[in-house]
Amino acid sequence: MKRILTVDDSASVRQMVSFTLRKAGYEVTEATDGRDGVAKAGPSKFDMIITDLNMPNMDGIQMIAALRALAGYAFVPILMLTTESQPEKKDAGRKAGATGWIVKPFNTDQLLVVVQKLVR
Amino acid sequence: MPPALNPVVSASESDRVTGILRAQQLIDQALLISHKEICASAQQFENLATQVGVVLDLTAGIVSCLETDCGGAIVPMVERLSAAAREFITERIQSVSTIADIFTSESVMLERLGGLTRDQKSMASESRALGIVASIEVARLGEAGEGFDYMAHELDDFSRMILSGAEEVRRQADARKAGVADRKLALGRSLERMRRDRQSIETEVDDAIRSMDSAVTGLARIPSEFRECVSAIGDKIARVVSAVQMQDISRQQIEHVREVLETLRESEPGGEKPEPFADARRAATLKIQRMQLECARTSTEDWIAQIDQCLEGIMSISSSHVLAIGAEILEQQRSLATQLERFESIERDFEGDYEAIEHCLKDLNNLSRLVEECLARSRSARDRMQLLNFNSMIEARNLGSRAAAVLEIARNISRISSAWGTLTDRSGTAMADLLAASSSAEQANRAVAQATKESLAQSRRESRTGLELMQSGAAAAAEQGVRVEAAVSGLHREIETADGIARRLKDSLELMSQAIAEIEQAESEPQSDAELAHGDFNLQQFEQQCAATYTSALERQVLRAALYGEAMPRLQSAVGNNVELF
Repeated sequence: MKRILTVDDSASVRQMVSFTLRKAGYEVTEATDGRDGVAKAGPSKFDMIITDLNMPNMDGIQMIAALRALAGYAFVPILMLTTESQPEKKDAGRKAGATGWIVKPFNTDQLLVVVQKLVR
Repeated sequence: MPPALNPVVSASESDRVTGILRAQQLIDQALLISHKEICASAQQFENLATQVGVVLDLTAGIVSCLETDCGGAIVPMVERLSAAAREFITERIQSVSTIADIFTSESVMLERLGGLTRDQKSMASESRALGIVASIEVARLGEAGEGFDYMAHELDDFSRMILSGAEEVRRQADARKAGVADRKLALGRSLERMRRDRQSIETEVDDAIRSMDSAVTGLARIPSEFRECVSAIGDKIARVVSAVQMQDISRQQIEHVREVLETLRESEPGGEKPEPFADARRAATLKIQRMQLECARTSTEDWIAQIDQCLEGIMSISSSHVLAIGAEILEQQRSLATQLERFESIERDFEGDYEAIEHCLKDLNNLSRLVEECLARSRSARDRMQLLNFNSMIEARNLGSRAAAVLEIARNISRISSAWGTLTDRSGTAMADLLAASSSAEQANRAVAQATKESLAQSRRESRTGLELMQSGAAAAAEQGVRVEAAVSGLHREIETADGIARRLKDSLELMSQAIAEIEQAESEPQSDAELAHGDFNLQQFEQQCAATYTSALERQVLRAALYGEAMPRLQSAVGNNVELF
């Protein structure tokens, strides 16, 4: 079973992402912010990471940069799931190593299509 | 450049500060409710979706029973069975009618045989009388008539033989007549019953097939209806997932409004940290916050409506007739079982008729054998009489004029022998006719072609298999139905909880409306939109400052709507339209 880490400071959004992915057969782990995400991603290998941008302690872009520096996370797809849609933010995400960008609120079918495409 | 601070706190400024404070307090309450209930609703929604999943899985099981075990295949099976039974009955009616006709002609033949035995008896009497006359003549002739003694004995023996044979044939023929009459009556009753069976197959069984066809057609629609229902619920679940996210965005939006109002209030002349602040800046800020709140309220209303719709959609599962599938299949299965038992009973009746007819025909065979024996004896007697006649004629010629009486007896023997020959031939013909009738009846009894019988048996086996499948399908569907009902009942409890959450969230809408009214009141004082647009106030710079705190495109769109009069964002069109892979 493919493992996905979802990082968001909003419990309800985490829950919706987890629900959608679990229903599609993925194993999902939740993290409450960037720091928690790095802490959980470090010891175990995930097949994909979905993260919010604006979060306390460590934001999504900082987290991506930290993860890309970790062994085993150089090529793991990391998807930004955020309310932000400004081009400069997207550019910052891409430079940090994000694989894709989805603006909230996400459509469950579309999220699954993207996840299935990225997780092989 | 912002205008200089006015240190004097006017009454209206004080009111404004109070209004902003009240708005802030209302927003705090709304946020409290919103934060608490959105977490609860996300959790509750997951419970609901899980429970819905359970219900749908169980229902899918029922639908699968319907598709695999109880589909439309059963109707053609029953139709084939009905057609085979009808053909079988029709052929059987035809053969039994033929047998009944044969039995009628057999009665006539038996009458004929009875007439022949009467003739035989009369002939026996005549032979006996002739024998007596011959004995007298032998006595009269004395030593010369010794050659005729044999003739007298032969005539006597012949007479006795005929009598006993004719009597036995008559007795058997009478018994046979009675048996045939009984069988004809029984066949008449069987024919009536068969015609009733055929009639009932044409009406009741056809009605049952039509009812089954209609039920199966109705049931056949259920899988597609179920799939539509699943798809509709899937859509509603997706909408609630979006709604929960939207509410989270609204929550952030309201939090930002609250932060701005806090700053604004503290910056007001009457606030805790009075700072110089431009009226235009303040008015614009208030307007932006009002519009952000209005947007958040609309968004909250929208997602509460989504949850309500989702709950209604889920409620419709419970009233779905999918739950009645098991009972419906069971009813059809019972109806089919009744028809099948009926066909089996018809077949059993036919078997009984068949055996009774076969038995009756065996009786006829016994009679035939007896008549055959009698005929053989008759032929032998005829031959003996012809020989006797020949010998008597020679002997009489030797005796000359003394044997005139014997000659007369010999002539009589010749006549009787000839009549006996004719009678024997007629008996043979009657017997041949009877045997032909027996053979025809036998053929008619076996006339229901093996193919028809096999077709009926095959159709019955098929239907029995279909019936067993239906029975197991119905049992599985009924068992699954009980589980579905339990799951639906659990679902209803979850829906009640979710409904409570939606009701409490509606309270936050009222608080937001009150906060909007307070802000409206506060912003109505100093500036108009025209002043905002035409003063020295730099809107673009102000937009950039405000946008820095915003984390969503939605807030920035509302900001532009407030500052430049652009259209407010449309919430639904924003869902799931922005995916970009790098």
